[in-house]
Amino acid sequence: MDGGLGALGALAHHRGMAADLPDPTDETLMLRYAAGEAAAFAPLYARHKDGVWRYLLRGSRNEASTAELFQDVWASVVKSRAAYQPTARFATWLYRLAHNRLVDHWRAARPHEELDEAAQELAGLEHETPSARAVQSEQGARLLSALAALAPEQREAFLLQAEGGLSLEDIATTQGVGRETVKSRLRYALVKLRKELADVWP
Amino acid sequence: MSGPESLKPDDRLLEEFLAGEGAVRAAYHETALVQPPPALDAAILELAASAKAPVMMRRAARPRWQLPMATAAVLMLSLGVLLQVQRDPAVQQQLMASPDQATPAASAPAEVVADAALPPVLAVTKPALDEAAVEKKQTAVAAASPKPARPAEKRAPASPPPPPVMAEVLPAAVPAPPQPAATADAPVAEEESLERAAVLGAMAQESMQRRERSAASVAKAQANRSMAPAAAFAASAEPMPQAMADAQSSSLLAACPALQAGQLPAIASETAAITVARLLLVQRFGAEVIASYEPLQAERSGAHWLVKGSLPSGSAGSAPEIALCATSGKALRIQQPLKAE
Repeated sequence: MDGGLGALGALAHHRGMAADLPDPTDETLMLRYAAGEAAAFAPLYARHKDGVWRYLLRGSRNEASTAELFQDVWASVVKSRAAYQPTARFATWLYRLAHNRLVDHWRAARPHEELDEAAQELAGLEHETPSARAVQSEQGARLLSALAALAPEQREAFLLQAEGGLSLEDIATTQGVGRETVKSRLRYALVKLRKELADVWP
Repeated sequence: MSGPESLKPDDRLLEEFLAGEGAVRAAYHETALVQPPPALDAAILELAASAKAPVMMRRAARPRWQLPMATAAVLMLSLGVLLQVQRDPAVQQQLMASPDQATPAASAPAEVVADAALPPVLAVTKPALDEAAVEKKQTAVAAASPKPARPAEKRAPASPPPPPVMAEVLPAAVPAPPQPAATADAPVAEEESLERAAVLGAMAQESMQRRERSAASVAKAQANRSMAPAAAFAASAEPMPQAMADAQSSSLLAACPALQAGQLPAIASETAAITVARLLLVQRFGAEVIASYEPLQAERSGAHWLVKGSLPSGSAGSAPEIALCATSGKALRIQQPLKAE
């Protein structure tokens, strides 16, 4: 636990020091880390760790599995650092790693079933877990409930944009579909989620 | 018609969401308090910090002057070798000579053989070597010959790349007390390596193959040493002529010096040359093979005898051939038979 607090303290220290200087981009930090500057990894991790965690948590349902997937994704970042080329946003590359790992998880969990069916069943109700209840509002819980009820591909398109900030093109590339298909998926997802919140935001 | 007002409600919802606005985005932000456990953060940060620097980065840290420096060094060495070749008249003569006269011992598929254990020693034939150099080599090899053979691995570091024409131990043609055989190429090769590399470098690979074959023949030759035809060499007392004008190659002549005053030749007649050649060829290639190239024909060329087999009629290829030093009785070169199917 000390190590964890120390790591978080280092992240907070980094954020404080960076206040005076323009923050280096994700791509710059990744290139510096790939070049051997180990300290460049901490701010990069701090920027993206929460989003990746939520993406995996809401894609896999199981918190224990999420921890494993999360560690695998960042281990892939470390392992693949020498091959990293800033041809796209770092976030796009990172969430593509996360997507691939999540798909592997789905296939391993239900290798003989259709991917969508397995993902549909695995995609659980995050708001029902005790940790989620402690930190989320009623509105947030309702939104997550509606998110979990979405079709897997719709939910993932939503999460890739909401957490990773991926563009329609990046989501299309990650999911292996066309841009219009992604727009359609997002549109369906947003309509359903908006309907869930109709009584709050009519 | 392109403004937000013109969009359908679903499209407007999508545009708001992609722009980071809207009710859904706001509601989703309320769920953003979920974070990975601190212990997981620590583990991943430790993993990232402990990862070694990638190999590509270490390569990039190499000094940039290494490549041009190495290139310049290679060019300087090449220039030095070229100048050395130009200054050496013997090498120039070698290069200017026609292919059939220049290096018969090197260009022909032949093997130069010598017995370092027996005096006088003819350890190597080298194209265009002057006689002084040959004598110097012979002295060096002869001084080393009584010593026991050194292990190959001990000679290897001091030996330059194998010359195109390798010395090889063959059965003695002259009776001699049993002595440990030793390959005679190492000391000579040290002196000649530079010239060989310039003139005959292209044949280095072929010489390696010859050397491997030679190793096998050495063992066979040593086992059959007691069968050496000593009497045939001592039979004749006819003096050898001094002229060397018709020698096939200067290398053979250099390896086979002219008869000195009062010295008796080891092989003085055609019959003796054929007898010795047949025995040596049979030892090397087998009786059946040599029998197929009978009759053998001997021809004297200066200080050495050239004994050739007869190619069977209708067959292609080349007959076995052996060069013998008439002065010393040594085998200078053996060309293996080649049968073309």
